[in-house]
Amino acid sequence: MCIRKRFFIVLLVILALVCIFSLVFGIFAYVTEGKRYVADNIPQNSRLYIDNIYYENGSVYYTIVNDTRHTIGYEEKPHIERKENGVWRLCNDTSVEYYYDGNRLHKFKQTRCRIELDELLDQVVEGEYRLIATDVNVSKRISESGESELYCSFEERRTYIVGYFTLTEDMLS
Amino acid sequence: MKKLFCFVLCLCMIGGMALSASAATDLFTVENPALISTEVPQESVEIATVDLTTGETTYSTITYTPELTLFSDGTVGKFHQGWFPEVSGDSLQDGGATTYSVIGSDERTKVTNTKNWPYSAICCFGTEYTNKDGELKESGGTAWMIGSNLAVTAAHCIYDRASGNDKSIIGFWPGKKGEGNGFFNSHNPFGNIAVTKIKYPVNYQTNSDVKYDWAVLVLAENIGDETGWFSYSFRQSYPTNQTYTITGYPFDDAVDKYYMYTASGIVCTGDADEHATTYYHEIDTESGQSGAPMYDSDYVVYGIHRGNSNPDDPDNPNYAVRITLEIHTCLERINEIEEITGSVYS
Repeated sequence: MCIRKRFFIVLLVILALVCIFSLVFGIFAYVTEGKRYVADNIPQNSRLYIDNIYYENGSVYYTIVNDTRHTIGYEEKPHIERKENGVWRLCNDTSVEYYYDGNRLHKFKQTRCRIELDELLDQVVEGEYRLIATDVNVSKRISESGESELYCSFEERRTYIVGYFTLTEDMLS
Repeated sequence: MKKLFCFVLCLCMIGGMALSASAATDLFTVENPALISTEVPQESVEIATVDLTTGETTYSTITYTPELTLFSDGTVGKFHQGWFPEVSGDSLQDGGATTYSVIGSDERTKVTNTKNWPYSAICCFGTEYTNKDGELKESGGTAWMIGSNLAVTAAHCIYDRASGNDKSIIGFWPGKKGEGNGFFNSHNPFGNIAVTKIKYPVNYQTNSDVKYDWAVLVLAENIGDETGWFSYSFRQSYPTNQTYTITGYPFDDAVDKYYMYTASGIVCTGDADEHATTYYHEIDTESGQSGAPMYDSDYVVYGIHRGNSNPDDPDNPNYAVRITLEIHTCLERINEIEEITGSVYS
């Protein structure tokens, strides 16, 4: 076999390896990017979510899971909404001190969180709750009753980490 | 008669000289009108100093007599001069060869040449701490240089009030541009600088008042001699409709992480008076930019960015800690004392 032919074969093998590597990396990148979707009017990512959320003794426990290949930011004090007549209403106590935590969660990592509800909410009552663990813009709007109220406004280009929990009368008694 | 005339003339001269001297003094230094009395009261601030190498915390007090300066534009306040390194060919005041790329409708722009002042003097840092439930957490923020080896940030970036734990600094990168180190450390133009001490007001540990949310990081190297540092100032009058800029390291998913972004906007007046400790503004900022400098077109810092919670006025939700006379004095004193002694002061 002449040298030129050997060189050509080696080149082909290298090219094939590069192609395979690129393909594998491409698939890995595609899969770990996660799928963006909108649920409950909030843009979310299929690989970025809240798991194992439950209420116990005045606290809500939850795990933020980051299965994407990016480091993400989240807030130690989440925004919490309660469903009233089919509408999500912000129920955080407005006197609670909020500042940027700058908390980070690395790729393929998860972190356990706990919040004390009576510290964060204006009142702890039974109902269906939605918890947003990422930074959210709070805006003002006029409610159906004509009163001014604060609400979470979600931007389309962002991704939010969302979890749900329910408080029953038994839990609170 | 002649003697009496000479005596009166002398008196007039002495009186005239005294008046001139007092007028000349008034031109440069004006005492806080509220403090003019036979006894000028002293103010004091207790500072906690955490030695990150030993983990030991020491406490000391900065005592000062409030004094203000009358500036040529008629405003009253305090000013500390910054410094930037000479770089041939570049317009330093414009950040040299800095170029920007706009992100959608977001007003934040990405800074790509972070090696040039003033961007070189803005630093990204990462921290680690154990929270109230014993979980190990990682967080971070933005800092800005105020001296050869001193940087300023927000106290909440380096102290977790819920657990009462100090945060340890796991990385401090002036002018960082990108996650990790990059090829040949290209993401860290000034390297990763060790932080030896953190200093913040003791009151921050128990008091949620915004005015205590500031801290100074003491660096192991005089990297400021390469990055330059910012001027900072306290002005007694609250700014009205002035444009300021905030530059830092946001950490939301709309930006590239560990990259520097900058945005400008109007600082709102609200009902704030000269004693206000907060600047509310409309400048686009996100989590991770806590501690970032809020500066004017002359690169003089007036505020330290803090967060986005202003339920009374959601149109202007972002806010910064105002550099008050107290904070200004503490920054100056820490600067002076650290540069002279390089150790804990009393």
